[in-house]
Amino acid sequence: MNVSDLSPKELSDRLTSGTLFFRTGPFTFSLRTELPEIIDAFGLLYGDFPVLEPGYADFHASLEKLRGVKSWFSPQGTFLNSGVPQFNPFPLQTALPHLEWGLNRCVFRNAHNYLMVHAAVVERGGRALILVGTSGSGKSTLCAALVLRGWRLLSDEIALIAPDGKLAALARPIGLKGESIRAIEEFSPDACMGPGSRGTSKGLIAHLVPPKESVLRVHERARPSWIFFVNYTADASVALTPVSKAKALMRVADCAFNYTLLGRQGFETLAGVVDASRTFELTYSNLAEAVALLDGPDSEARLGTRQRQREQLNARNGTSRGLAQAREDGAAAPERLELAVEPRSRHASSSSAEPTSH
Amino acid sequence: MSLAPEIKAKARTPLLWRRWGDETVVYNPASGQTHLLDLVSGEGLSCLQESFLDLGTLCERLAHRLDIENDAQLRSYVAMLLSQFEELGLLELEGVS
Repeated sequence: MNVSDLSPKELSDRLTSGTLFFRTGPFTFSLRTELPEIIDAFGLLYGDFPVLEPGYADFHASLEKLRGVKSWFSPQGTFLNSGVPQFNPFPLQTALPHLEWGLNRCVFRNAHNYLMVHAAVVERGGRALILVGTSGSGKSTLCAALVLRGWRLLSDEIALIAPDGKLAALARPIGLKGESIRAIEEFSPDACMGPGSRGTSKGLIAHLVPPKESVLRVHERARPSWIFFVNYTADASVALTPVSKAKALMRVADCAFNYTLLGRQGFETLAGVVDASRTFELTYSNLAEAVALLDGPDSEARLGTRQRQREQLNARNGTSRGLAQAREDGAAAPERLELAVEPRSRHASSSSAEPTSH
Repeated sequence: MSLAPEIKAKARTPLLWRRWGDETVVYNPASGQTHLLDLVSGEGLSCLQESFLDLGTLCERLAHRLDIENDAQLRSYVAMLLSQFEELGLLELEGVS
């Protein structure tokens, strides 16, 4: 049974009594709220999510209206996990974004059996594209657009990387801010969006309903194949620029919630993901152009898919060793040749020589 | 500040390594830090994996590996590298009084 199979009264009864249990990816949540606008929005945004019978939950979330004098003048809300507030009180009109942020917070503060990176993840053909970017980088907008073009949504906020290096799904509504909402509505006028919330610290926020297929396939993991550092820049032409794997590792580590906490396992897991991926910086201003770059007829060649397949085939046939293996074996001739041509420039520059630390 | 010439250094163990092209990433479990090293830094630390080396021997090995001249400029640069590695906790030292 899915959330959409419940009548409005059944949904309201479950949410107000705290007996609404739902699952996304590896996690089971219970949710309690009496806020009518949240009950309606939850029914829309989570309609395709399976409802579980009350029992075990990884996280017990509740969204409440605060009582007190202040709330008479300016209604305030709070989000709790197992009874513990996760934010300072917030304007009640921003309860829906705080529900989403709160559910994310439950995950990234607790799910340390995964390496968790602040990134969106989409999948096609079993291969995951990890979109790394800070707030305002355009990653969620691009994630939403790709999902609307048929890529499967794994997550729009938290890349969950299992110790085996595969990406677990956490498909939930995609949060979009002011300009992004308009960009997605222009990109796909049929996109199903939830209600907008004004007055958040990030301005107007609305959520794209996750596609049913992404919700149903949430148990399917994907292997890492591409890492994009997304960089929305007004008026910029769309451009895909290779990033070295070592620098990519450092940049992803910077965006991870628990890389340092996981220690050796975090390094090994992340190095494996970077090793398996092609790493690029994607600059864009026009959403349709960026999507065409990744989803158009030449995208496979551009993203190196065919090249990677050829490498894997050659490796299996024993006709060519992987580059990493060759280097471990000491076959680093190209690097030595480069150095021999210009030896001084390689070790005389203090700016490039300083070890960078994370 | 550079290390005294009589001091020998060795890369702390265990360090976790990944090398991609000219660049190396090293994770130091003792500090929990990850370091991005360029070609010369990476090769320099790599030379120190097996045994304790003094500055002169390290320069010889590095010059050989990288096919570059073992001159005063290299020696000065490697001394600076060793100092940085030591500050980052990447080295064990021998001969420190």
